Amino acid sequence: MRLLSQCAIGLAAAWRALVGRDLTMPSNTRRFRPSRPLMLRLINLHEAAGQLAKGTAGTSVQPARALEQAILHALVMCFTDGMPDEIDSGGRRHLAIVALFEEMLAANHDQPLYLAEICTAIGVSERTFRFICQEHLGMGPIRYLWLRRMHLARHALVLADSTKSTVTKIATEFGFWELGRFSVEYRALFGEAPSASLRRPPEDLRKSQNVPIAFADAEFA
Amino acid sequence: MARCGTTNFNDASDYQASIRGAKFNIAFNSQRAFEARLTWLELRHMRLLHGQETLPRVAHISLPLDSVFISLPTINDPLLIYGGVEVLSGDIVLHSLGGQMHQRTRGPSQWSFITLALEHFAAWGRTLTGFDLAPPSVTRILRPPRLDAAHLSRLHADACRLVETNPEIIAHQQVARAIEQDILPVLVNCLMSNDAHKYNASNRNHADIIARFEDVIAIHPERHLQISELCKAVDVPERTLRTCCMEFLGMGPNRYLRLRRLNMVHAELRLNVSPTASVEEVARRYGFSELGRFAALYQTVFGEMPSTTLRCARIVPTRNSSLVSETG
Repeated sequence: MRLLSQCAIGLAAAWRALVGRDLTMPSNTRRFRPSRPLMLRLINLHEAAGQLAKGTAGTSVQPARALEQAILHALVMCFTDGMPDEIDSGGRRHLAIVALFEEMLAANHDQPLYLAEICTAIGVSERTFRFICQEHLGMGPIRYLWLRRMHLARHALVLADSTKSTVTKIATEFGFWELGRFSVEYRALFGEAPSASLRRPPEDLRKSQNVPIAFADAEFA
Repeated sequence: MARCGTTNFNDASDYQASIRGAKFNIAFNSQRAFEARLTWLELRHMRLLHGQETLPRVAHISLPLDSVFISLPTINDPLLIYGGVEVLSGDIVLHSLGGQMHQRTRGPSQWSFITLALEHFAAWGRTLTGFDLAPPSVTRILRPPRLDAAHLSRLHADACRLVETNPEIIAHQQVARAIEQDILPVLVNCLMSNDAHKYNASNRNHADIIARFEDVIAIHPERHLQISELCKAVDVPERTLRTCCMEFLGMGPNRYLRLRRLNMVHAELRLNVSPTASVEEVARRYGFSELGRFAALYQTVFGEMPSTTLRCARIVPTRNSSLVSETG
Protein backbone atom coordinates (compact mmCIF):
# COMPACT_ATOMS: atom_id res chain seq x y z
CA MET A 1 0.00 0.00 0.00
CA ARG A 2 1.44 3.32 -0.98
CA LEU A 3 0.07 6.67 0.05
CA LEU A 4 0.61 9.72 -2.02
CA SER A 5 -0.44 13.05 -0.60
CA GLN A 6 -0.49 16.02 -2.82
CA CYS A 7 -0.85 19.67 -2.07
CA ALA A 8 -4.45 20.46 -3.10
CA ILE A 9 -3.58 23.64 -4.94
CA GLY A 10 -0.78 21.99 -6.93
CA LEU A 11 -3.05 19.09 -7.88
CA ALA A 12 -5.93 21.38 -8.85
CA ALA A 13 -3.64 23.46 -11.04
CA ALA A 14 -2.14 20.43 -12.71
CA TRP A 15 -5.61 18.94 -13.18
CA ARG A 16 -6.83 22.11 -14.90
CA ALA A 17 -3.81 22.22 -17.12
CA LEU A 18 -3.96 18.58 -18.16
CA VAL A 19 -7.68 17.83 -18.24
CA GLY A 20 -9.05 21.26 -19.07
CA ARG A 21 -11.67 21.10 -16.33
CA ASP A 22 -11.70 22.09 -12.70
CA LEU A 23 -10.99 19.39 -10.18
CA THR A 24 -13.75 18.70 -7.70
CA MET A 25 -12.46 16.93 -4.64
CA PRO A 26 -14.67 14.02 -3.57
CA SER A 27 -16.48 14.31 -0.25
CA ASN A 28 -15.80 10.63 0.42
CA THR A 29 -12.69 8.69 -0.44
CA ARG A 30 -12.97 7.30 -3.93
CA ARG A 31 -11.28 4.29 -5.40
CA PHE A 32 -9.89 4.25 -8.91
CA ARG A 33 -8.82 1.35 -11.01
CA PRO A 34 -6.58 2.80 -13.71
CA SER A 35 -5.12 0.87 -16.60
CA ARG A 36 -2.09 -1.19 -15.75
CA PRO A 37 0.60 0.75 -17.69
CA LEU A 38 -0.49 4.01 -16.06
CA MET A 39 -0.58 2.44 -12.64
CA LEU A 40 2.86 0.91 -13.13
CA ARG A 41 4.24 4.26 -14.18
CA LEU A 42 2.88 5.91 -11.05
CA ILE A 43 4.29 3.15 -8.85
CA ASN A 44 7.71 3.37 -10.50
CA LEU A 45 7.82 7.12 -10.06
CA HIS A 46 6.78 6.75 -6.45
CA GLU A 47 9.60 4.32 -5.88
CA ALA A 48 12.08 6.60 -7.62
CA ALA A 49 11.02 9.40 -5.31
CA GLY A 50 11.57 7.11 -2.34
CA GLN A 51 15.09 6.30 -3.57
CA LEU A 52 15.80 9.98 -4.08
CA ALA A 53 14.64 10.84 -0.57
CA LYS A 54 16.69 8.04 0.99
CA GLY A 55 20.03 8.59 -0.67
CA THR A 56 20.46 12.22 -1.44
CA ALA A 57 19.92 14.89 1.14
CA GLY A 58 22.00 17.58 -0.53
CA THR A 59 21.29 17.18 -4.24
CA SER A 60 19.92 19.97 -6.32
CA VAL A 61 16.21 20.66 -6.46
CA GLN A 62 16.01 20.12 -10.20
CA PRO A 63 15.60 16.30 -10.25
CA ALA A 64 13.13 16.47 -7.38
CA ARG A 65 11.07 19.02 -9.22
CA ALA A 66 11.10 17.04 -12.43
CA LEU A 67 10.01 14.01 -10.50
CA GLU A 68 7.21 15.92 -8.84
CA GLN A 69 5.92 17.03 -12.21
CA ALA A 70 6.13 13.53 -13.57
CA ILE A 71 4.26 12.13 -10.58
CA LEU A 72 1.59 14.80 -10.84
CA HIS A 73 1.11 14.05 -14.49
CA ALA A 74 0.88 10.31 -13.89
CA LEU A 75 -1.52 10.82 -11.00
CA VAL A 76 -3.92 12.95 -12.99
CA MET A 77 -3.76 10.48 -15.85
CA CYS A 78 -4.60 7.66 -13.44
CA PHE A 79 -7.65 9.50 -12.14
CA THR A 80 -8.96 10.44 -15.54
CA ASP A 81 -8.12 7.21 -17.34
CA GLY A 82 -11.15 5.49 -18.75
CA MET A 83 -13.53 8.14 -17.44
CA PRO A 84 -15.54 9.94 -20.09
CA ASP A 85 -15.46 13.73 -20.06
CA GLU A 86 -19.07 13.85 -18.96
CA ILE A 87 -20.64 10.77 -17.38
CA ASP A 88 -23.92 10.11 -19.18
CA SER A 89 -26.91 8.38 -17.62
CA GLY A 90 -25.75 4.99 -18.97
CA GLY A 91 -22.37 5.59 -17.37
CA ARG A 92 -24.01 6.50 -14.07
CA ARG A 93 -26.09 3.32 -14.24
CA HIS A 94 -22.92 1.33 -14.89
CA LEU A 95 -21.24 2.93 -11.89
CA ALA A 96 -24.28 2.11 -9.76
CA ILE A 97 -24.08 -1.51 -10.91
CA VAL A 98 -20.36 -1.60 -10.11
CA ALA A 99 -21.15 -0.24 -6.64
CA LEU A 100 -23.80 -2.95 -6.09
CA PHE A 101 -21.37 -5.58 -7.37
CA GLU A 102 -18.65 -4.36 -5.01
CA GLU A 103 -21.14 -4.43 -2.13
CA MET A 104 -22.04 -7.99 -3.00
CA LEU A 105 -18.38 -8.98 -3.18
CA ALA A 106 -17.76 -7.39 0.21
CA ALA A 107 -20.78 -9.05 1.80
CA ASN A 108 -19.60 -12.44 0.52
CA HIS A 109 -15.88 -11.78 0.86
CA ASP A 110 -15.05 -15.40 1.69
CA GLN A 111 -17.77 -17.09 -0.36
CA PRO A 112 -17.85 -18.14 -4.01
CA LEU A 113 -20.18 -16.13 -6.24
CA TYR A 114 -21.48 -16.97 -9.69
CA LEU A 115 -22.57 -14.98 -12.72
CA ALA A 116 -26.27 -15.91 -12.80
CA GLU A 117 -26.65 -15.32 -9.07
CA ILE A 118 -25.05 -11.90 -9.31
CA CYS A 119 -27.16 -10.92 -12.33
CA THR A 120 -30.31 -11.97 -10.43
CA ALA A 121 -29.31 -10.16 -7.25
CA ILE A 122 -28.34 -6.92 -9.00
CA GLY A 123 -31.07 -7.12 -11.63
CA VAL A 124 -28.78 -6.74 -14.62
CA SER A 125 -28.62 -8.79 -17.78
CA GLU A 126 -25.56 -10.92 -18.43
CA ARG A 127 -24.78 -8.89 -21.54
CA THR A 128 -24.72 -5.55 -19.70
CA PHE A 129 -22.81 -7.04 -16.80
CA ARG A 130 -20.23 -8.54 -19.12
CA PHE A 131 -19.75 -5.17 -20.79
CA ILE A 132 -19.35 -3.43 -17.41
CA CYS A 133 -16.85 -6.03 -16.22
CA GLN A 134 -14.81 -5.62 -19.38
CA GLU A 135 -14.89 -1.88 -18.86
CA HIS A 136 -14.02 -1.84 -15.16
CA LEU A 137 -12.08 -5.04 -14.56
CA GLY A 138 -10.53 -5.61 -17.96
CA MET A 139 -11.91 -9.15 -18.17
CA GLY A 140 -15.24 -10.94 -18.43
CA PRO A 141 -17.24 -11.73 -15.28
CA ILE A 142 -16.84 -15.49 -15.54
CA ARG A 143 -13.07 -15.17 -15.63
CA TYR A 144 -13.07 -12.59 -12.83
CA LEU A 145 -15.28 -14.73 -10.59
CA TRP A 146 -13.19 -17.79 -11.38
CA LEU A 147 -9.96 -15.95 -10.49
CA ARG A 148 -11.63 -14.73 -7.32
CA ARG A 149 -12.54 -18.28 -6.35
CA MET A 150 -9.00 -19.45 -7.15
CA HIS A 151 -7.57 -16.79 -4.84
CA LEU A 152 -10.08 -17.64 -2.11
CA ALA A 153 -9.09 -21.28 -2.40
CA ARG A 154 -5.40 -20.37 -2.27
CA HIS A 155 -5.95 -18.22 0.77
CA ALA A 156 -7.79 -21.05 2.51
CA LEU A 157 -5.14 -23.60 1.48
CA VAL A 158 -2.29 -21.55 2.89
CA LEU A 159 -4.14 -20.81 6.12
CA ALA A 160 -5.42 -24.36 6.63
CA ASP A 161 -3.76 -26.87 8.91
CA SER A 162 -2.41 -29.56 6.58
CA THR A 163 -2.98 -32.24 9.22
CA LYS A 164 -6.68 -31.44 9.50
CA SER A 165 -7.73 -30.36 6.01
CA THR A 166 -7.35 -31.70 2.48
CA VAL A 167 -7.08 -30.09 -0.95
CA THR A 168 -10.34 -31.80 -1.98
CA LYS A 169 -12.19 -30.36 0.98
CA ILE A 170 -11.01 -26.82 0.33
CA ALA A 171 -11.38 -26.97 -3.47
CA THR A 172 -14.98 -28.21 -3.23
CA GLU A 173 -15.73 -25.54 -0.61
CA PHE A 174 -15.03 -22.95 -3.32
CA GLY A 175 -16.95 -24.75 -6.03
CA PHE A 176 -14.13 -26.57 -7.82
CA TRP A 177 -15.64 -29.95 -8.55
CA GLU A 178 -13.26 -31.15 -11.26
CA LEU A 179 -10.26 -31.73 -9.03
CA GLY A 180 -7.86 -32.73 -11.79
CA ARG A 181 -8.57 -29.55 -13.70
CA PHE A 182 -8.37 -27.50 -10.49
CA SER A 183 -4.85 -28.77 -9.80
CA VAL A 184 -3.65 -28.01 -13.31
CA GLU A 185 -5.16 -24.52 -13.34
CA TYR A 186 -3.96 -23.79 -9.81
CA ARG A 187 -0.42 -24.69 -10.74
CA ALA A 188 -0.60 -22.58 -13.89
CA LEU A 189 -1.86 -19.58 -11.92
CA PHE A 190 0.25 -19.75 -8.76
CA GLY A 191 3.25 -21.79 -9.84
CA GLU A 192 2.82 -24.48 -7.22
CA ALA A 193 0.58 -27.46 -6.61
CA PRO A 194 -2.40 -26.92 -4.29
CA SER A 195 -0.96 -29.58 -1.97
CA ALA A 196 2.24 -27.52 -1.67
CA SER A 197 0.20 -24.46 -0.65
CA LEU A 198 -1.58 -26.55 1.95
CA ARG A 199 1.70 -27.78 3.43
CA ARG A 200 3.22 -24.29 3.55
CA PRO A 201 2.96 -22.58 6.98
CA PRO A 202 0.36 -19.80 7.14
CA GLU A 203 2.88 -17.00 7.77
CA ASP A 204 4.08 -17.51 4.21
CA LEU A 205 0.90 -15.96 2.92
CA ARG A 206 2.36 -13.27 0.77
CA LYS A 207 0.39 -10.70 -1.06
CA SER A 208 -2.50 -12.98 -1.98
CA GLN A 209 -4.54 -11.03 0.56
CA ASN A 210 -4.42 -8.12 -1.80
CA VAL A 211 -6.79 -9.61 -4.30
CA PRO A 212 -7.01 -6.99 -7.07
CA ILE A 213 -3.22 -6.66 -7.44
CA ALA A 214 -2.81 -10.41 -7.47
CA PHE A 215 -5.58 -10.62 -10.10
CA ALA A 216 -3.72 -8.20 -12.27
CA ASP A 217 -0.48 -10.17 -11.84
CA ALA A 218 -2.17 -13.36 -12.89
CA GLU A 219 -3.85 -11.70 -15.82
CA PHE A 220 -0.70 -10.17 -17.21
CA ALA A 221 1.73 -12.90 -16.31
CA MET B 1 -29.07 -31.30 -1.21
CA ALA B 2 -28.30 -32.81 -4.59
CA ARG B 3 -29.52 -36.31 -5.27
CA CYS B 4 -27.83 -38.51 -7.79
CA GLY B 5 -27.47 -42.08 -8.87
CA THR B 6 -26.12 -44.40 -11.52
CA THR B 7 -27.51 -47.80 -12.42
CA ASN B 8 -26.44 -50.52 -14.81
CA PHE B 9 -29.15 -52.52 -16.57
CA ASN B 10 -29.26 -55.75 -18.50
CA ASP B 11 -32.94 -55.60 -19.23
CA ALA B 12 -34.64 -53.00 -21.37
CA SER B 13 -37.94 -52.91 -19.49
CA ASP B 14 -36.18 -52.14 -16.21
CA TYR B 15 -34.17 -49.53 -18.02
CA GLN B 16 -37.08 -47.68 -19.55
CA ALA B 17 -39.08 -47.86 -16.31
CA SER B 18 -36.17 -46.20 -14.48
CA ILE B 19 -35.99 -43.15 -16.70
CA ARG B 20 -37.78 -40.55 -14.65
CA GLY B 21 -38.98 -37.13 -15.74
CA ALA B 22 -40.03 -38.28 -19.21
CA LYS B 23 -41.89 -41.39 -20.34
CA PHE B 24 -39.82 -43.62 -22.57
CA ASN B 25 -41.35 -46.38 -24.63
CA ILE B 26 -38.53 -48.25 -26.29
CA ALA B 27 -38.75 -50.79 -29.11
CA PHE B 28 -35.72 -52.93 -29.91
CA ASN B 29 -35.17 -55.14 -32.91
CA SER B 30 -33.22 -57.39 -30.65
CA GLN B 31 -32.38 -57.33 -26.99
CA ARG B 32 -29.66 -59.93 -27.04
CA ALA B 33 -26.64 -58.59 -25.13
CA PHE B 34 -28.56 -55.56 -24.00
CA GLU B 35 -26.65 -53.40 -21.59
CA ALA B 36 -27.34 -49.87 -20.50
CA ARG B 37 -26.37 -47.40 -17.87
CA LEU B 38 -28.44 -44.54 -16.59
CA THR B 39 -26.89 -41.68 -14.64
CA TRP B 40 -28.86 -38.83 -13.17
CA LEU B 41 -28.18 -35.83 -11.02
CA GLU B 42 -30.76 -33.58 -9.43
CA LEU B 43 -29.41 -30.14 -8.62
CA ARG B 44 -31.36 -27.26 -7.11
CA HIS B 45 -33.23 -26.18 -10.26
CA MET B 46 -31.68 -28.43 -12.85
CA ARG B 47 -31.65 -32.13 -13.61
CA LEU B 48 -29.02 -33.94 -15.66
CA LEU B 49 -29.69 -37.28 -17.29
CA HIS B 50 -27.31 -39.46 -19.24
CA GLY B 51 -28.03 -42.78 -20.92
CA GLN B 52 -25.61 -45.23 -22.51
CA GLU B 53 -26.90 -48.21 -24.48
CA THR B 54 -25.34 -51.00 -26.49
CA LEU B 55 -28.12 -51.67 -29.05
CA PRO B 56 -29.95 -49.80 -31.80
CA ARG B 57 -33.56 -48.95 -30.98
CA VAL B 58 -36.34 -46.43 -31.36
CA ALA B 59 -37.95 -44.75 -28.34
CA HIS B 60 -41.22 -42.89 -28.22
CA ILE B 61 -40.66 -40.19 -25.60
CA SER B 62 -43.47 -38.20 -24.00
CA LEU B 63 -42.27 -35.08 -22.22
CA PRO B 64 -44.03 -33.48 -19.24
CA LEU B 65 -45.75 -30.09 -19.40
CA ASP B 66 -43.92 -28.52 -16.47
CA SER B 67 -40.29 -29.04 -17.52
CA VAL B 68 -38.15 -27.94 -20.42
CA PHE B 69 -36.00 -30.64 -21.98
CA ILE B 70 -32.80 -29.92 -23.85
CA SER B 71 -30.92 -32.68 -25.65
CA LEU B 72 -27.22 -32.08 -25.51
CA PRO B 73 -24.80 -32.17 -28.39
CA THR B 74 -23.16 -35.45 -29.23
CA ILE B 75 -19.44 -34.89 -29.73
CA ASN B 76 -17.52 -37.89 -31.09
CA ASP B 77 -20.55 -40.11 -30.39
CA PRO B 78 -22.85 -41.80 -32.90
CA LEU B 79 -25.60 -39.45 -34.04
CA LEU B 80 -29.14 -39.51 -32.72
CA ILE B 81 -32.21 -39.16 -34.90
CA TYR B 82 -34.96 -36.96 -33.49
CA GLY B 83 -38.27 -36.86 -35.28
CA GLY B 84 -36.78 -38.38 -38.41
CA VAL B 85 -34.03 -35.77 -38.58
CA GLU B 86 -30.44 -36.70 -37.89
CA VAL B 87 -29.07 -34.27 -35.31
CA LEU B 88 -25.54 -33.47 -36.36
CA SER B 89 -22.57 -33.48 -34.01
CA GLY B 90 -22.54 -30.28 -31.95
CA ASP B 91 -26.25 -29.46 -32.43
CA ILE B 92 -28.60 -29.23 -29.48
CA VAL B 93 -32.34 -29.90 -29.42
CA LEU B 94 -34.70 -27.63 -27.52
CA HIS B 95 -37.83 -29.73 -27.15
CA SER B 96 -41.33 -28.34 -27.21
CA LEU B 97 -43.11 -28.32 -23.86
CA GLY B 98 -45.06 -31.52 -23.24
CA GLY B 99 -44.05 -32.69 -26.69
CA GLN B 100 -43.75 -36.20 -28.06
CA MET B 101 -40.92 -37.42 -30.19
CA HIS B 102 -39.15 -40.43 -31.53
CA GLN B 103 -35.51 -40.76 -30.67
CA ARG B 104 -33.77 -43.33 -32.81
CA THR B 105 -30.27 -44.80 -32.71
CA ARG B 106 -28.37 -46.95 -35.20
CA GLY B 107 -26.03 -48.74 -32.83
CA PRO B 108 -24.41 -48.26 -29.44
CA SER B 109 -25.40 -44.80 -28.34
CA GLN B 110 -25.25 -42.15 -25.66
CA TRP B 111 -27.79 -39.43 -25.05
CA SER B 112 -27.96 -36.59 -22.56
CA PHE B 113 -30.67 -34.29 -21.33
CA ILE B 114 -30.70 -31.20 -19.22
CA THR B 115 -34.08 -30.51 -17.65
CA LEU B 116 -35.23 -27.30 -16.05
CA ALA B 117 -38.60 -26.62 -14.44
CA LEU B 118 -40.52 -24.22 -16.66
CA GLU B 119 -40.49 -21.34 -14.17
CA HIS B 120 -36.73 -21.61 -13.63
CA PHE B 121 -36.09 -21.84 -17.34
CA ALA B 122 -37.99 -18.56 -17.80
CA ALA B 123 -36.36 -16.90 -14.80
CA TRP B 124 -32.77 -17.86 -15.67
CA GLY B 125 -33.41 -16.97 -19.29
CA ARG B 126 -34.64 -13.51 -18.28
CA THR B 127 -31.71 -13.01 -15.90
CA LEU B 128 -29.04 -14.02 -18.34
CA THR B 129 -30.44 -12.63 -21.58
CA GLY B 130 -32.61 -9.74 -20.41
CA PHE B 131 -35.73 -11.10 -22.09
CA ASP B 132 -38.10 -14.00 -21.64
CA LEU B 133 -36.86 -17.31 -22.90
CA ALA B 134 -39.84 -19.48 -23.80
CA PRO B 135 -39.82 -23.12 -24.83
CA PRO B 136 -40.82 -23.37 -28.49
CA SER B 137 -44.18 -24.71 -29.64
CA VAL B 138 -42.31 -26.85 -32.19
CA THR B 139 -39.05 -28.61 -31.28
CA ARG B 140 -36.00 -26.70 -32.50
CA ILE B 141 -32.58 -28.00 -33.48
CA LEU B 142 -29.97 -25.34 -32.68
CA ARG B 143 -26.38 -25.01 -33.77
CA PRO B 144 -24.27 -23.24 -31.12
CA PRO B 145 -20.69 -22.15 -31.83
CA ARG B 146 -18.48 -25.24 -31.82
CA LEU B 147 -16.60 -24.30 -28.63
CA ASP B 148 -19.79 -23.56 -26.68
CA ALA B 149 -21.34 -26.87 -27.73
CA ALA B 150 -18.19 -28.74 -26.70
CA HIS B 151 -18.03 -26.85 -23.39
CA LEU B 152 -21.66 -27.66 -22.53
CA SER B 153 -21.16 -31.27 -23.50
CA ARG B 154 -18.00 -31.51 -21.42
CA LEU B 155 -19.57 -29.98 -18.30
CA HIS B 156 -22.49 -32.43 -18.52
CA ALA B 157 -20.18 -35.39 -19.10
CA ASP B 158 -17.85 -34.36 -16.25
CA ALA B 159 -20.76 -33.98 -13.82
CA CYS B 160 -22.16 -37.40 -14.79
CA ARG B 161 -18.72 -38.98 -14.47
CA LEU B 162 -18.48 -37.51 -10.98
CA VAL B 163 -21.81 -39.15 -10.10
CA GLU B 164 -20.42 -42.48 -11.31
CA THR B 165 -17.01 -42.24 -9.67
CA ASN B 166 -17.26 -39.92 -6.68
CA PRO B 167 -20.88 -39.33 -5.60
CA GLU B 168 -19.79 -38.16 -2.12
CA ILE B 169 -18.43 -34.97 -3.67
CA ILE B 170 -21.81 -34.23 -5.27
CA ALA B 171 -23.40 -34.31 -1.83
CA HIS B 172 -21.39 -31.22 -0.95
CA GLN B 173 -23.71 -28.23 -1.16
CA GLN B 174 -21.12 -25.96 -2.78
CA VAL B 175 -20.37 -28.56 -5.44
CA ALA B 176 -24.03 -28.94 -6.45
CA ARG B 177 -24.33 -25.17 -6.61
CA ALA B 178 -21.12 -24.83 -8.63
CA ILE B 179 -22.14 -27.49 -11.16
CA GLU B 180 -25.48 -25.76 -11.77
CA GLN B 181 -23.92 -22.31 -11.93
CA ASP B 182 -21.13 -23.51 -14.24
CA ILE B 183 -23.65 -25.02 -16.64
CA LEU B 184 -26.24 -22.21 -16.65
CA PRO B 185 -24.46 -19.45 -18.61
CA VAL B 186 -23.07 -21.93 -21.13
CA LEU B 187 -26.51 -23.49 -21.61
CA VAL B 188 -28.34 -20.19 -22.02
CA ASN B 189 -25.64 -19.04 -24.42
CA CYS B 190 -26.13 -22.19 -26.51
CA LEU B 191 -29.92 -21.71 -26.51
CA MET B 192 -29.49 -18.29 -28.11
CA SER B 193 -28.02 -19.93 -31.23
CA ASN B 194 -29.59 -20.08 -34.65
CA ASP B 195 -31.59 -23.00 -35.96
CA ALA B 196 -29.49 -25.68 -37.60
CA HIS B 197 -32.50 -27.25 -39.23
CA LYS B 198 -35.87 -25.73 -39.97
CA TYR B 199 -38.68 -28.22 -39.97
CA ASN B 200 -40.52 -27.54 -43.22
CA ALA B 201 -44.21 -28.08 -43.97
CA SER B 202 -43.62 -31.69 -45.09
CA ASN B 203 -41.64 -32.51 -41.89
CA ARG B 204 -44.38 -31.04 -39.75
CA ASN B 205 -47.10 -32.86 -41.68
CA HIS B 206 -45.26 -36.15 -41.19
CA ALA B 207 -44.71 -35.38 -37.49
CA ASP B 208 -48.48 -34.81 -37.15
CA ILE B 209 -49.20 -38.16 -38.79
CA ILE B 210 -46.77 -39.98 -36.50
CA ALA B 211 -48.23 -38.25 -33.45
CA ARG B 212 -51.75 -39.38 -34.51
CA PHE B 213 -50.37 -42.87 -35.15
CA GLU B 214 -48.96 -43.00 -31.58
CA ASP B 215 -52.26 -41.69 -30.23
CA VAL B 216 -54.17 -44.50 -31.96
CA ILE B 217 -51.74 -47.10 -30.56
CA ALA B 218 -52.03 -45.58 -27.08
CA ILE B 219 -55.79 -46.21 -27.00
CA HIS B 220 -55.36 -49.99 -27.41
CA PRO B 221 -51.66 -50.69 -26.92
CA GLU B 222 -52.28 -54.42 -26.52
CA ARG B 223 -54.39 -54.93 -29.63
CA HIS B 224 -53.15 -56.38 -32.88
CA LEU B 225 -54.26 -53.62 -35.26
CA GLN B 226 -54.67 -54.37 -38.94
CA ILE B 227 -52.91 -51.91 -41.22
CA SER B 228 -56.19 -50.92 -42.90
CA GLU B 229 -57.73 -50.22 -39.50
CA LEU B 230 -54.72 -48.08 -38.55
CA CYS B 231 -54.79 -46.07 -41.76
CA LYS B 232 -58.45 -45.35 -41.25
CA ALA B 233 -57.93 -44.23 -37.67
CA VAL B 234 -54.92 -42.05 -38.53
CA ASP B 235 -56.70 -40.87 -41.71
CA VAL B 236 -53.83 -41.37 -44.17
CA PRO B 237 -53.19 -43.66 -47.12
CA GLU B 238 -51.09 -46.74 -46.32
CA ARG B 239 -48.24 -45.54 -48.49
CA THR B 240 -47.94 -42.27 -46.58
CA LEU B 241 -48.09 -44.02 -43.21
CA ARG B 242 -45.35 -46.40 -44.30
CA THR B 243 -43.15 -43.50 -45.49
CA CYS B 244 -43.62 -41.68 -42.19
CA CYS B 245 -42.86 -44.80 -40.15
CA MET B 246 -39.69 -45.49 -42.09
CA GLU B 247 -38.62 -41.88 -41.59
CA PHE B 248 -39.38 -41.61 -37.85
CA LEU B 249 -39.12 -45.19 -36.61
CA GLY B 250 -36.71 -46.75 -39.04
CA MET B 251 -39.16 -49.63 -39.69
CA GLY B 252 -42.64 -50.26 -41.09
CA PRO B 253 -45.79 -49.86 -38.96
CA ASN B 254 -46.51 -53.61 -38.58
CA ARG B 255 -43.08 -54.39 -37.31
CA TYR B 256 -43.11 -51.45 -34.93
CA LEU B 257 -46.46 -52.46 -33.45
CA ARG B 258 -45.35 -56.06 -33.10
CA LEU B 259 -42.18 -55.02 -31.27
CA ARG B 260 -44.10 -52.73 -28.94
CA ARG B 261 -46.52 -55.52 -28.03
CA LEU B 262 -43.70 -58.00 -27.66
CA ASN B 263 -41.96 -55.61 -25.24
CA MET B 264 -45.14 -55.40 -23.18
CA VAL B 265 -45.41 -59.19 -22.98
CA HIS B 266 -41.77 -59.35 -21.93
CA ALA B 267 -42.26 -56.71 -19.22
CA GLU B 268 -45.33 -58.50 -17.89
CA LEU B 269 -43.63 -61.89 -17.79
CA ARG B 270 -40.51 -60.47 -16.25
CA LEU B 271 -42.31 -58.66 -13.48
CA ASN B 272 -44.68 -61.59 -12.98
CA VAL B 273 -47.64 -59.21 -13.14
CA SER B 274 -50.24 -61.99 -13.20
CA PRO B 275 -48.77 -64.79 -11.04
CA THR B 276 -51.26 -67.42 -12.20
CA ALA B 277 -51.29 -66.67 -15.92
CA SER B 278 -49.53 -68.93 -18.41
CA VAL B 279 -47.29 -67.64 -21.22
CA GLU B 280 -50.04 -68.46 -23.67
CA GLU B 281 -52.63 -66.38 -21.83
CA VAL B 282 -50.33 -63.36 -21.62
CA ALA B 283 -49.34 -63.67 -25.27
CA ARG B 284 -52.95 -63.93 -26.36
CA ARG B 285 -53.86 -60.84 -24.34
CA TYR B 286 -51.31 -58.86 -26.39
CA GLY B 287 -52.65 -60.05 -29.72
CA PHE B 288 -50.31 -63.01 -30.38
CA SER B 289 -52.70 -65.77 -31.30
CA GLU B 290 -50.21 -68.30 -32.70
CA LEU B 291 -48.09 -69.45 -29.80
CA GLY B 292 -45.39 -71.18 -31.90
CA ARG B 293 -44.68 -68.10 -34.03
CA PHE B 294 -44.82 -65.92 -30.95
CA ALA B 295 -42.22 -68.03 -29.11
CA ALA B 296 -39.85 -67.97 -32.09
CA LEU B 297 -40.18 -64.20 -32.47
CA TYR B 298 -39.73 -63.74 -28.72
CA GLN B 299 -36.55 -65.76 -28.75
CA THR B 300 -35.16 -63.77 -31.67
CA VAL B 301 -35.71 -60.51 -29.84
CA PHE B 302 -34.91 -61.42 -26.24
CA GLY B 303 -32.56 -64.35 -26.67
CA GLU B 304 -34.59 -66.63 -24.38
CA MET B 305 -37.90 -68.50 -24.45
CA PRO B 306 -40.91 -66.70 -22.90
CA SER B 307 -41.30 -69.59 -20.47
CA THR B 308 -37.72 -69.02 -19.24
CA THR B 309 -38.48 -65.34 -18.55
CA LEU B 310 -41.56 -66.30 -16.56
CA ARG B 311 -39.80 -69.08 -14.65
CA CYS B 312 -36.96 -66.76 -13.63
CA ALA B 313 -39.43 -64.13 -12.51
CA ARG B 314 -41.27 -66.62 -10.33
CA ILE B 315 -38.08 -67.96 -8.75
CA VAL B 316 -36.49 -64.56 -8.05
CA PRO B 317 -39.34 -62.10 -7.45
CA THR B 318 -37.34 -58.95 -8.14
CA ARG B 319 -34.65 -59.71 -10.66
CA ASN B 320 -33.68 -56.11 -10.72
CA SER B 321 -30.75 -54.11 -11.95
CA SER B 322 -27.31 -55.53 -11.45
CA LEU B 323 -25.86 -52.52 -9.71
CA VAL B 324 -27.69 -49.78 -7.95
CA SER B 325 -26.01 -46.89 -6.29
CA GLU B 326 -27.82 -43.89 -5.07
CA THR B 327 -26.67 -40.96 -3.03
CA GLY B 328 -28.61 -38.09 -1.60
